Amino acid sequence: MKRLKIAMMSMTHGHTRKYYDVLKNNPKLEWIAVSTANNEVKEIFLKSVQGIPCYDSDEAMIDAHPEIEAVVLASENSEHLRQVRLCAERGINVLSMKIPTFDMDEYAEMERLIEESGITFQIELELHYNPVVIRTKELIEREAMGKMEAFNATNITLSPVWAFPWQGVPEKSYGKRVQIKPGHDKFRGGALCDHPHIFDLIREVTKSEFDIIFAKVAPNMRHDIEEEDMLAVVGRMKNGVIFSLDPSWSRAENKLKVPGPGWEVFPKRMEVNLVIHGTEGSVFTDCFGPNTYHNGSPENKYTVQYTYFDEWVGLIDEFVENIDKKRLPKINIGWHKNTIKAMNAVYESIATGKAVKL
Amino acid sequence: MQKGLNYLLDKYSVGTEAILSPDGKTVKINGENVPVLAWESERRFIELRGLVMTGRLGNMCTYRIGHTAKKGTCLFELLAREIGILEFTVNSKTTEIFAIAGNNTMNCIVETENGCVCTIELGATLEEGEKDIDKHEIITDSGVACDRVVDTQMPQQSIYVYGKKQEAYMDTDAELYGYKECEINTIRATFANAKSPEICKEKCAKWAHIEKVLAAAKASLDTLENIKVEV
Repeated sequence: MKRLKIAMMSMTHGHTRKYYDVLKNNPKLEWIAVSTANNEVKEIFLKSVQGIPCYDSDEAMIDAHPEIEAVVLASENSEHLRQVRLCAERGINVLSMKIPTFDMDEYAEMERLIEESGITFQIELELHYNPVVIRTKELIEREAMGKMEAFNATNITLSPVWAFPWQGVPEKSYGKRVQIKPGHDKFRGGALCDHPHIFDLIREVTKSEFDIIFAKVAPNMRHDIEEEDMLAVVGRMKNGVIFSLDPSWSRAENKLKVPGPGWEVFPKRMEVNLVIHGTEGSVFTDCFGPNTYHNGSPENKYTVQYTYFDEWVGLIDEFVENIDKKRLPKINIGWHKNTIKAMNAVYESIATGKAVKL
Repeated sequence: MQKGLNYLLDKYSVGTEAILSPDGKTVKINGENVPVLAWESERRFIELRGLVMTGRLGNMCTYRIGHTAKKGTCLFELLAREIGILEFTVNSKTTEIFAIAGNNTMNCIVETENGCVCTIELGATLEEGEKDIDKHEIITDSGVACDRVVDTQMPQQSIYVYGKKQEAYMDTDAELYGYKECEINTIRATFANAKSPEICKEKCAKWAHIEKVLAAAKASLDTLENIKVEV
């Protein structure tokens, strides 16, 4: 069996470590190399994975390994356009992190580069490969709650900024420094930029697009970061389904440099709950539960031991197959554009205090 | 409920005559109708308010409220209750509201005077005989308080019976043992009114404010604008 020769770039993204197992163990992949953006992530990588060549720049890696067919862009959002250019020039297929860019001019350039080079460009939105989400989609499809009337979702987590510092830098996360609203001391680039999943999922399950978005930023939980961490979003899809989306970093964390046991201050580090109301009833979904609970080390505090559903297995399988069969990925650059536009509309609504019509 | 109320009035020698309305939402005291605001006597909300008022939580950030009720429930009735719970538990009044609704659902973002940004997600979708499903979660810069167990969405009961038929019981008050939870809250809130003209006055003012919030929500639904509420 021919294996896809794959590499990773930057290694600064929070999801970097999620790829280690799948890149090593998926029989359809041959993990060729990584490039690291700085010494800190290089050191973390070298401690975590042995036997994979590690380079100090993307160019050095792909020059040394012209056999690379695909890369995972495990980088800060501000690096994506540069890396897409590089990959498009060399005909290297790309698995992008969840936010290609928030700048719609940059977005258009990425679309052009992908179109012209013919590379496969898939965006990582792992909820699509979550078994609870798959079941929920089936329930919606067979109208277990009747015709959908409302889609309410949380995508709430602890803040990753201490482990992945670029997420706390507006220029690297949002792409530039923009005040969240006039007179406010926080900037765009925080919790919202970390949580596109529910903005994507609602489009898929309603088979509709955003119509009206109203959002508010709340006082920060974390006073020592520059970006928003708490916000609320409501609105309506074009087919009339109303929604409430919470993409906050509302779970407190210890400031670990490397995520691991003891990260949680609030017992649960992550929650994606869906409440879907229909004409005939409601569906309540916990996409990452139930779990296991303990008060063991390192802090002996009551903690939800997060159940790790390995969404990355399905995600990578699909990526390999898309390349092999020259198939357009489900989460492709064109599909994802309206998700990014909706997230930009959230920021616009926060800034203006008004509902945004899309 | 009137029987339970009379029992308490008699036991504690409260001389005031108090007559509950058939729906339990108001009580006639000395010829005047006073709102009951039953949630102010609901144990879980008293505890949430206590955590806020004693400073065990930090500065307000957000508040997540969800309430799914039976089909046919008036969404504005639900909204009135949830605004009342919000204002009672964070001890602050609503200053603005944005609302959007479907046929049997409504979602709102509410801001209170102390800066708390609250989402209220309402649905009227449950079958007759189902118990309401609700959740109230206060998130501050120094702690979270919630009336549901971490990692759950469903309300729990005190007792579950798995016999020939499944049964569940929620018992919160030995003095009013045998009444349903919502009846106990109504009786306790009415009893508080009957004991104190001050509380009656406060509740009249609180209800008048809730009515302003409801009017603002209706205006928001019509205009799709964030509507300010006079405090």
